[in-house]
Order: sequence, then structure tokens, then C-alpha cells
Amino acid sequence: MLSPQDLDAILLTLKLAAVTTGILLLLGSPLAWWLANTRTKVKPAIEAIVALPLVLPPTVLGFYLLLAFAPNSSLGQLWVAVTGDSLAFSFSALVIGSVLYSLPFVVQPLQASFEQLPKSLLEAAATMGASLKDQFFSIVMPLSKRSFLTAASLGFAHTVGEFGVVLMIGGNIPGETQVLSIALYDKVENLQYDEAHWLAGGLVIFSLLLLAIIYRFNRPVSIGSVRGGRH
Amino acid sequence: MPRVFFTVFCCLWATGSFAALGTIATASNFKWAMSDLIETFEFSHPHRLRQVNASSGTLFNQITFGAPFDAMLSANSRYPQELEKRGLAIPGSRFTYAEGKLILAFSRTIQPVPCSNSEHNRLPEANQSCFTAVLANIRQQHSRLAIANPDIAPYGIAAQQVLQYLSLWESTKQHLVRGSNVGQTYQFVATANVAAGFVALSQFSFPEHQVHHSLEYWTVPENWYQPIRQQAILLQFGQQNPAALSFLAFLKTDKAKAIIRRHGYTTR
Repeated sequence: MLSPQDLDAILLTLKLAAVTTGILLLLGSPLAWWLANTRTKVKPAIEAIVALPLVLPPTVLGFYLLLAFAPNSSLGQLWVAVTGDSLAFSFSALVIGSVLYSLPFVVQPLQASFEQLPKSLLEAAATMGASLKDQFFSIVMPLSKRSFLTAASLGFAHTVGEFGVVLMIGGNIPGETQVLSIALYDKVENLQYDEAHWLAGGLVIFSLLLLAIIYRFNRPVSIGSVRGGRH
Repeated sequence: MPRVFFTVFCCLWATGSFAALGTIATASNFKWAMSDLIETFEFSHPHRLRQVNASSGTLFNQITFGAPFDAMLSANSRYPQELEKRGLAIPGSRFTYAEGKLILAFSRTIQPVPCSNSEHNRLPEANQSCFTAVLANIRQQHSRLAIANPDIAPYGIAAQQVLQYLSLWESTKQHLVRGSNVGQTYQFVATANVAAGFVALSQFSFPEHQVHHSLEYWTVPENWYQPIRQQAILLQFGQQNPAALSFLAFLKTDKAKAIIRRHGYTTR
């Protein structure tokens, strides 16, 4: 069965995924909105940077982050000066790594959804005096509800499924940086197959359920269905 | 009355006998011994300990990158020495807590016929030819030999030395699978993905492991490789950590040494 250390790993993983998803929604929504509406020439470059974690081996990100978080690096020293704690091999380091690693999984669905919004609706709202804030909360948010749900679930699921980055920058500390995937790796390496089965099987079921929920809700958005009534 | 409690609390805290949490970076080969040691230690001390396992080289790297470890139990003396030199560990706190033994674990299917276990231990010459025969059988069966990565794992260095001693290093090189630490190396053998591997005796002597029923092992003669002196050291980060300090002291006790020996190491 599960040991207290495994439960720690489960809680830690959920916490990491939740914090990461929250930050990603806060940072990713404006970025996706900007990408969906900008006419700047650098758009493809920004899109490419956002998509990088999709194609890069996690070890690349892990390597750079390891260097960036080290106590003798400028970021590492800044962190110590501000928070008083070391950044390397801490939970905060995992959050930063996960935000970068899961960025495309949140930004891309949001951007796709924002791009499909009829511009005429927003223009009409603007002529009636709706501020940008009003437009976002009264039109964009309700119409993109499902995309937000998809983006959040994908970001959450992808963070739970992270391995390479957390292996390199986490340091496998029980209760602090030992997330589920790392705990599982440890069990397999030490031939604790009973425990490994619990963790691995649990992850399969959890991920399957989450994806099923995403696909259940991820139907094409029609304006009529959101506003209700007119079909 | 509450004030008295508060004073007592403060005194305990100030003297460091208050329960503390120590994080011990522990070489993979020592994991099971360490689990036993921690259990015994926590029974008689107020402190709590947790171990972080990887190859000694990986742990060393993590420490140089600022990992919050209080003490390190390395599988060699080189890394603790280096940490001392770089000012990342407390000078003078280094000591040998165990001496490791290298074994060759292999599947019974590649055991050479004349080399039964009793014979192999009796004659030194027969011994060497038995090892050579096993390693030849691996190649014949198109399987591979697992060793820990010599760049980061002390047990891998020992394995390389043995192969060099047997003049088989060059010819076996292409048939090697390298585990990232001795734990993964043993996993390759125990899951029958490779026919044989050089691992630590401590991994085999752990009684709860029923996975190796189809495996045989021979202890490698100790003059075939440099002694694996496993050293412990207090790290800069754990300088003030009462849990790490009293655990290192505990490691030197006869009680701890008996546990370490039970796991297939020698102690002094």
C-alpha cells in the first residue's frame, strides 16, 4: 500500500500542479490575448518561444534552470536576498520550472479560442462604451469558458506528468521536491514494485479521468449555446 | 506555569536537543542500510531524518548547486574530500562509515558449468577463470553486462577496475549497459533485462528482496579493485543541524556498525 512518504508525494504533486496552473492562468491569459490580437511582426517568434517546451528535451530546460537557480548565480542570489531562502532544489524552483514547462499547454488553447471570437462582438461592445476590462469579463470570459477549463486541465495534467525537469532541479527531497513521478522512479530503481504499481496505476487512472473530462467538455464553442436561447 | 513551559521550550531549542529534521544525501547502495539506521536512530533520539538517494556523483553535483542537504553519505572518499576542499563541507568531520563489497550478480542461465558456487570460492585461479567464463557467456548469449556509470558512481569505478584487472575492459566495453547509479544497475539485472551486472553486496543481502530468486552472485576478490571506502561528511548547510550532528555521531557507535555490517559492509 501507500506509505506516508508516498502520500506526501501525492499531496506535493497536487500542490505543485495547482500552484502552477494558477500562475499559468494569470500569466497565460494576457499573453494569449495579446498573441491573438497583435499584428506585430515578432508574433511568430513569440509563438515559437511559447511552443519551445513542446519540442525540447526537458533536460535542456533542466540544465539551464539548474545553472540559473544555483546560489552563485544572479537569480539565485537575488532570490536569497528577497526571500532569505535558497532557490536551488526548493519547491519554488519546481514551480518556476513547471510554469515554463507547461506554458504552451495553457497559452495555446486560450489563444486558439481568443482568435475564434468574432471581432464584431467586441467592436459592438466598444461602441456601446464597454471598456477593455468590461469586454474581457462580459464577453471574452463567458465565451471562452471551455477553453479556460481545457487550458487549466491540460496545464494541471502536464505538470503532474512532469519528470525530466523536476529530476534535474528538484533533488528528490521527500516532502519538499519529491513529486509522484520521481517517487515512482525511485521505487522502480529500488525494486519496490508493489508500491510502484500503486503509484503508476493511480497515475494512469487519474490522467485518464482528467483527459476524459477535458474531451467531454471540449466541444466546439457556439455563441448561441453560451448566450442561451437562440439556436 | 505556562511561562515555565515556555522557558523549558526555549532552553531545549537553544541547546539544540529540540527535535530537528535532517536531510541526508545518501549514495544509492546504502539506501537499505540507511533505512534501518534511521529507524534505530529515531527510536532513541528526538530528531527526524530523511534520506535523498542518487549516485554519489549526482549528489555531489546537487550539493555544489546549492542543494539543502545537511550531511552526505558518499560511496567513496573522493567526493567528500572535494566538498571539503571547496568549502562546502565542514573540515574534519569526514570519516569512513563503511567499506563496500562489489559482487557480480548474474542470471543462472549463464553460470559456467564447472563453476559451482563452492568451487569458485576455493581456488584463486579457478576463480579468475570462472569470472572470465561468465563474462564470455554474456557475449555468447548476446546479452549485456550492467555496471554503474564510472563517471559518477564509485561502484562503477570499481567494476571498471575489475574488468581492467581481468584484461576484459576493452572487449566488454561495447557490451556494457551503464546505470545512473548502483540501484538502477541492480534493477537492470534483477528484471533480467541484462544477464549480469556488478553491484553492491548490500543490495543482495537485503532480505526483503524476493526478486532475485533466479540470480546467483559471486563476491569479487578484494584485491581486484581499489577499496570502496564510503565516507560521510557534515555539509556546510547542516553545520547547525542537531539531527545531522547526532546522526553522524551515531554512525560511529557499535550499534550502528552492527547494522551496517548486517547489510553486507565491513566497518572498522
